[in-house]
Amino acid sequence: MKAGRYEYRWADGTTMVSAPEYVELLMNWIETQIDNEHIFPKKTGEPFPPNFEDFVKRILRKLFRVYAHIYHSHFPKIVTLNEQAHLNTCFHRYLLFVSEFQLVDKEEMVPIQKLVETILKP
Amino acid sequence: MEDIQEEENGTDEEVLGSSLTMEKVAAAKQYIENHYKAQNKNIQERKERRWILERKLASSGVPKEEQINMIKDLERKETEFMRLKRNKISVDDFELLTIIGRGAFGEVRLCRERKSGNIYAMKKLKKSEMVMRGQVEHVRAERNLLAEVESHYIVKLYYSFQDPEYLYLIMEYLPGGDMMTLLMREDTLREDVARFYIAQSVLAIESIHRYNYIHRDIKPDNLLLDKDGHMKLSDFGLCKPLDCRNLPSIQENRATDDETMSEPMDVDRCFPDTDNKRSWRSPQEQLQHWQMNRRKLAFSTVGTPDYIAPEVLLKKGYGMECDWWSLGAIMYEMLVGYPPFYADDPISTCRKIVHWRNHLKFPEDAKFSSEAKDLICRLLCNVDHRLGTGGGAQQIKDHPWFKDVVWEKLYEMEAAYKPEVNDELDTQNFMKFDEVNSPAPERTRSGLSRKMLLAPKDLSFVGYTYKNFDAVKGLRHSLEMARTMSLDRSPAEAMPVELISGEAAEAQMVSSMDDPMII
Repeated sequence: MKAGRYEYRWADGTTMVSAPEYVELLMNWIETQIDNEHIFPKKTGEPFPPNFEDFVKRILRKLFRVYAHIYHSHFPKIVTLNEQAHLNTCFHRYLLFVSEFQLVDKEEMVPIQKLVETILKP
Repeated sequence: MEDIQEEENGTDEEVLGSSLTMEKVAAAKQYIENHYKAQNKNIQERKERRWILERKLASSGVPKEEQINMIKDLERKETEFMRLKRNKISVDDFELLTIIGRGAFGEVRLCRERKSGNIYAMKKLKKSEMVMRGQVEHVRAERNLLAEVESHYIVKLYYSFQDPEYLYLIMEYLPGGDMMTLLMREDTLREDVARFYIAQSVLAIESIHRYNYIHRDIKPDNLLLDKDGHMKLSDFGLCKPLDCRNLPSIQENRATDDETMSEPMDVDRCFPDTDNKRSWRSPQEQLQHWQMNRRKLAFSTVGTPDYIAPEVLLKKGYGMECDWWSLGAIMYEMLVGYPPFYADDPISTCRKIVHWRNHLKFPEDAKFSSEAKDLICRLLCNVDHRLGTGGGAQQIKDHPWFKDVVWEKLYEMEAAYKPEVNDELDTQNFMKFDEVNSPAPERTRSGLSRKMLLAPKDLSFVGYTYKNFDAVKGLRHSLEMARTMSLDRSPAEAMPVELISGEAAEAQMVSSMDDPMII
């Protein structure tokens, strides 16, 4: 999956897949993570794991790649479909959240750095 | 070279914007808007619950230490609620028990939540029927109203969810039965009993009108009774819908023809040799016919138009006033014993309703007050002159028939009728329905739930899932206090979803395209 001149591969670089395949694999994996009661406990009183934050960071880092791909490869289409306000709202919230709690490294956001800086500019 | 290719791709994509793509876009937009609206509402409600508790504690004489404990208990419940919302709920979480209602789109039955042991009423609606009959907006409106309105005049919604075939509403079970069953048993109500329930209905209707919701189909089966006999509004027209589109258009200006058309039927059926009474069966005959027919109607999956306002039938546009008409029709039935425009078939009933001026009559031996008749006539009348039009519920409360009603204490005092309820699983106050053998539904594995929502049939039901804070068990004491304070609070303005304007988005996107690193 591409975001400009950057390319994301599945399984941390070992498998080259198309964007739809990548998104499908990613969403399935995230759903598995959230359904995992050892990571996201459902029962009353059950504590979160000590490394819970690492799981969250990994999920959010990979989610960024979907946003990067959409903005780079499909934004004109999004505008044609009149969906840009919805996309921007979601990305705004995502970005403010990960920025507030420092959940995604700055280097990961380079593919759409200009957009990120515009949003985060005070 | 690359630029040319990109342009070609763009052109192809635009041309290939299929209708399925457009449906998915609309569903995605709705999903996003629902998500943030619900998120904002949850945050607002959490703050409100805490504020209510803190304010209550500040004015009470509770010791400091116990105050801290109660706040911690609320925090624990909030945490549990957030976890509850993450659980994927399905029909397998409930043990299915007795059927207590059945309609065109599905059924209502008693059920027990396996985890908590709580008893609920489960309303199950077939998706394909909803879509086919154009009921998607109605079912959404019902779910939205029940999820939004916190009122003890309205049956409580605890969960809503879906699977590939059905929508589910998990609701409060009210074992006292409904007004229809009560009227079947009693035929008529004493005037003081009728006044009590009409007054409670006024409060319930006022409650939903405050949220700009029009019920449109209020009838005795939708007025449920709890174990103490207090009334709650339920079944927002979906289990036994009257599909007005199936009825022929009724023209208001064809009075003469209608009168002519209706006469032969009456002559043939009821009065072959009595010219004087061709258009009017005696009250006794009307009562007997209604009593025979009503049991059949109760088991039917088709609703009756008896309580529907003329402006709804005429499809000329209607407002909240149509619900007050329905209330008038129910009041007439409570006191007289049958609906005011009852006829042998739905079409004749509709004609009578549309020409109510010619057909609204009271039996000569009616034994109720002139104030009651006056109120009925002010509800069953032209919309412009109807009580409630313009002035709302207060106009009705001010009517002399309600002179002695203490409105603030209606739900605290003893109910006018006390149903017999032996235990929490008791269904004696409902009709008995036979089980229908249905094939075992296919099981939904959690990994597939997201994909299934992408099927075209399911795009109509985006945003259906709901969970209620009261589903979390905890200390009854603190909740009772909080609930008392929150009753009848005015609806909070929904915080608007912040949407970025298209121009700003384009500007930002353009600036990012200029990034030299990317090029």
